[in-house]
Parts: sequence; structure tokens; C-alpha cells
Amino acid sequence: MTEIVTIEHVSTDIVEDADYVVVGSGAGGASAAWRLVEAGCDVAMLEEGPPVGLPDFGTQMFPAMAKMYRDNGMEAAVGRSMISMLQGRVVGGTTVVNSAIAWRVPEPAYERWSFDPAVRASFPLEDLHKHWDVLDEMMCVTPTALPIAGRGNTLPAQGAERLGWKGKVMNRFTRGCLGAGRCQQGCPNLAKQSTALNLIPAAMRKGMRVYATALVERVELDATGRAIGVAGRFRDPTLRRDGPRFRIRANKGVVLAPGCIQLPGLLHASGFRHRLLGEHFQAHPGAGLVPFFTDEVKYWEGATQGWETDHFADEGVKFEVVNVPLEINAARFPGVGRELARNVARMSHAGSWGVLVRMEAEGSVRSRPGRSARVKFTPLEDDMRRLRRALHNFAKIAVEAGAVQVMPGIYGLPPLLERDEIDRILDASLDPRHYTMVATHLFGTARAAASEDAGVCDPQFRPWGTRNLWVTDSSPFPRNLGVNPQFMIQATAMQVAEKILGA
Amino acid sequence: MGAWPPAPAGFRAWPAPVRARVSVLLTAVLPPEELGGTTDPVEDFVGGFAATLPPARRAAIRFGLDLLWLLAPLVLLGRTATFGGLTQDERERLLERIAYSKLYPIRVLGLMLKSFAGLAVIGDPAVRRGLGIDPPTGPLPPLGAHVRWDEDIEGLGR
Repeated sequence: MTEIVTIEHVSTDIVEDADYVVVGSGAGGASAAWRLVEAGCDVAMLEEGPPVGLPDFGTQMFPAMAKMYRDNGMEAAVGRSMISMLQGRVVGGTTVVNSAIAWRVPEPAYERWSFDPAVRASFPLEDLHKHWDVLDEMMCVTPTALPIAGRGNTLPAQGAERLGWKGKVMNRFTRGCLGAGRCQQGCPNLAKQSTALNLIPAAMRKGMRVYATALVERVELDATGRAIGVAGRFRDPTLRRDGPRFRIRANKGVVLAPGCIQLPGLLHASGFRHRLLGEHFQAHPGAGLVPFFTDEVKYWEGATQGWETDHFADEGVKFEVVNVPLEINAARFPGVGRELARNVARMSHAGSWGVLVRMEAEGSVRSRPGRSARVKFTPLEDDMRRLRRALHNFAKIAVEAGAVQVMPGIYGLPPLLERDEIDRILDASLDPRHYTMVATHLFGTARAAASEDAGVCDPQFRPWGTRNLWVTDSSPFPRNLGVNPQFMIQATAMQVAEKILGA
Repeated sequence: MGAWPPAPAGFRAWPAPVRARVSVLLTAVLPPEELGGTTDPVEDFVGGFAATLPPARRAAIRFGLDLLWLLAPLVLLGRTATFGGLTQDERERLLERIAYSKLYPIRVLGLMLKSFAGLAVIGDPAVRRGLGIDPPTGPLPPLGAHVRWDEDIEGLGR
């Protein structure tokens, strides 16, 4: 197996050739690359972030944010309020730092996602299931086992059951998970099956070359719109030190999967123009709820995310356990100074839960390669109404699970609500500035549609007017999903790869 | 071993007096001694934090923190002193006004201060031990160092 080439290995500019160049090593890039390599293609993969491994996967969150997250984890969508966005920026992309949740998109969500018949024809659900079958094996999709779930996951399960709300243990990409609770810092047991642990090494064993710390600045398009390669420079993404330049010629085509925040900037820098590029940005913003119990919970002991319920899927909301690292969670605890310290000291009695909302709002993205993006997004009033109702329902689960207090995290309400006060959540303001939201599932910005007027990409995820250029991240998704998107991104990427091979 | 991976050698970050001021701010937001920690790791954190920020963001954060240090006592408490000249009670009163301000941008500043303080203070192994979280098992590589990931994942029985 060849070694990953980084800025530390190169001292002069490089020019190389490949059949296909894949930009991005996360869910979409790695899945497409693996499928192309399996078919015998010569593939070069380029990743802006560094390769990481066990020595990088410590307990502390700040070194992880500095090394593995885009913009040190401080990326945000700004509109009426500010919504944090988390994206990985390492070999393996966000799959290295997410909670490895695997969802085969349910039929109703698929129907909604593929509202354009042409897109549906390109990505039939039965084809997606075939890819999921393959990925099930490759990525070790496994239900969270009870012994490693921890109380943080079992308490809400008990509460929901008492309310008669259906919930389930999460299916996750794991092999031998020990419940370290540190998915977001990088799995210390290498149990989480990021693409850096399976698809990428498997493709490298068959000859794929991987260039990391390699910032692609533009796709080279010839006069006819045919993608003929990519160009950029090596750059240390943590220290922002520039290195030599590179140019990789693509004899057969270029596959783009830099993530839907980066894609508009990359296409624009490549000379591609479309009035909808960067538009139709969607997300699943969510907010947290912290219940306090009499007994210790120690939510950091056990699977980072192991239980969920889509009982309210019809409302476009999903409840999850999300064991946010303590350093991050502390900011949400009430008070400052000594009062904050006293509240943090109670953390071992707290749970860490969250709700995701399939928001109907659409925003926009303006970006340039290697620079922070400008993302605009403001939730609609109905989005906020569903979020508020979801927080109230999750508070009901907390009460049924035995919580003595609940921290709703909504400005204008008391920081801590007693058991008999949770209905006050329903009176909270719908102003998004009163909530602390985070978005981890990002979609759109190069939406696929049957006509060039309606979308940036065609129904096979090719930017209109280009040739030999495909997009395999969530940028061409016609709509957000309502469930965790990694598996869908992977399956659509593999479907695109099949079409590339068929062509 | 320190609480944090060392900041990269020779990389320009905030000078020592600025790091000290930011450290005073963060330890006022979340006093480490209340959780079994000390202030030294917070100053180390500030150095590493500044080193990894993009230059424009580093300058913006420093500008915001300088304003807070110099002007917030006068504007929010009517006191003609810098933040460093306030008692801990006064510092907490001022920070509370920021964290619970009716003005959203000010409230966001409070949230950011609490976030940075959380990263700095709860990242300290001594505090983590006090809270019942396992300490790191070994030294972390310096920020910016790369490891041979292919060696790390070989031989794991896949």
C-alpha cells in the first residue's frame, strides 16, 4: 500500500495523471473512489485536511477541534441568529468525527427527497438499498449493544417507552465499539468505521493515491466544459503554511465531494457559473436539552450516540441522545463564574440529549477555496415551532425517565425547570435568537433538477454544461432528509460511480 | 507533560501580556480552582488557541476581548477600571450582564466566552479527574504534526 502524501513529503511542485481525480475523502468522495478503484480505475484522491490516527485521538476537545474540524469547529451559519456548523477536515472527512450513525432512508423520506421524477429515476430506492447492502458489510453497520450504551442512552429509552413512543438503538458504523463516548474527538479504540479505516485503505491497497493537506483551488475545464484535471497547493491546514503546488490531470473525469459548503466556491473559482450555485442550502439544525437526575448518569461513559426515536418523523423532528463533550456542554450550563462552576460540578448527574429538525428554511453559501465560507440561514417560524414542540416532548421523556430538573436552553425561560414546570417550554419565544442551535447535516447549494433553469446539477449529479465532472457529496441533494445523511451520501455516491463506469 | 499539546514552535501568536489578559477573562468565566484546577493550563490553552486561528479571526477575537477588557467595566458597571481591576464579584456581575444581555450579539459574546472557558478549564486533566473523567493516556503530538495513519491502523484484525 502506498503512503499518503502530505505537505511534509513534497518539496517541489508536482504534476501527475490519473483516470479519475476525486476531491474530498469523506463519505461521498471515499465511496465513489472505492467503487471506481474496484472497477480497475486509476484514482487520485485529494483531501484538504491532514491524515490523523490514534495519537491524535485524545480526550480533550480543543486539540481535536484545532486539527480535525473545519475552522477550528467555529464555522457558523448567520442569519437572524447564529447556528454553529460542524464539519470534519481530515482524511476521512466528517466520518472521522461524527457519531457514525447509519440510516437507510425510509420510504416516506425518500419520496420527499426525490420529488423530482428525473432525480428519482437516477437514484431508484432499490438501487440505493443494493449499495447499502454492500456498505453494511464494508462499514460494519451494527446496532448499539446494551452493555456499551451507558445510562446516558438507556434513560431516555425508558422514558419514551413509558410514554408509548417508539424508539430504537442506533445502527452505527462500528466494529467492536467499547463505548468510549469520544466519537467527536476521534475514536480512541479505532472502533468507529470512518472511511479512513475501510474504504480508503481498501482503495489504496489497489493502487489509489491519496494526497492530503492538498487544497484544490480549481477544477480545470477546457473550452467545451470538459473537466481535465485539478490544480491547487499543499497547505498545512492547522498552521496555514503554504507548500508546493500540484496539478493532477484527469484522463477520464473529476469527482467532487468537498462538502456542500465548499463546493460553490470551488466551482466558482473554476469558472463555472449558475445563478443557483450556493442557493437552496438546507440543514437539520438542532438544539440540546439537559435533564438532571438524582443518581449519577456520567453520560460520557457509553456510546456517544446510541438511542433515537423518530416517533415524530411526520413532524420532521428526530430525538437523539448526543453526548456532547463536556468542554462544549459547559457553555450551555447556567451562570458564570462560581455559579457556573457549581453547575458544571453537577455534570455527572446530567444527560445530554438533542432534537434535530428537518427545517424547511433555505439559505445560501458563498465560499472560496481555503477561506471561511459565508453561510446565510434563518429558520422559518414553523421550523422554530416544531423545534419548540420537540424540546417540550423531549422534556416529557426526561420527566418519565425520572429527571428532577430540565435545562431547556431557551433564553427567556428559567435556566432550570422543575418537573412540573416543563409546559413553560410551550410558551417560549419562537425567535431563533433565543435558542442555541447546531447544524451538522448540511445539504443543497448545487441542487440537482431535471432542467438547467431549476438546478445547478443534472439528475445524475453533473453540473449543467460540464462534461466528465460529477458531484458526490450532499450538494446536489434536492432536499434535506430528516435522518442522518451519511449512508444516503454514500449510496448516491456509489450510484454516481456506477453511472460513470457505465458511461 | 502539560495540559495541552505545545503550540507550534516559532509560530506567531498573541504576546504574553495578551495571553495573560485572556486567561484572566476565561478564569473569571469558569474559575478552575472551583473544579480542582489551576490557572496555568488556561494560559497554555490561550497560546495554542491563538496559534491555530486564521489571522483575521485571531485579530477580530483579540479586538473584541480588548474592548471587553477596557470598556465593559465602564459601560456595564459604571466603573472606571479595566476588567483586571475588578474584584471577582464585580467580574462575575459584569459577565452575567453579558451572558444574559437582551442584545443578541452581546449574548453571543457571552456564549463564546463560556465556550472558550469550557475548552480551557475542563480540558485540563486535573479538572477532568475531579469531574470523574478519565485523563489522557499518553502525550499528545504537537499541533500541526502529522502521524503515519497507515501504521496506526495496520494489524487491527480487520
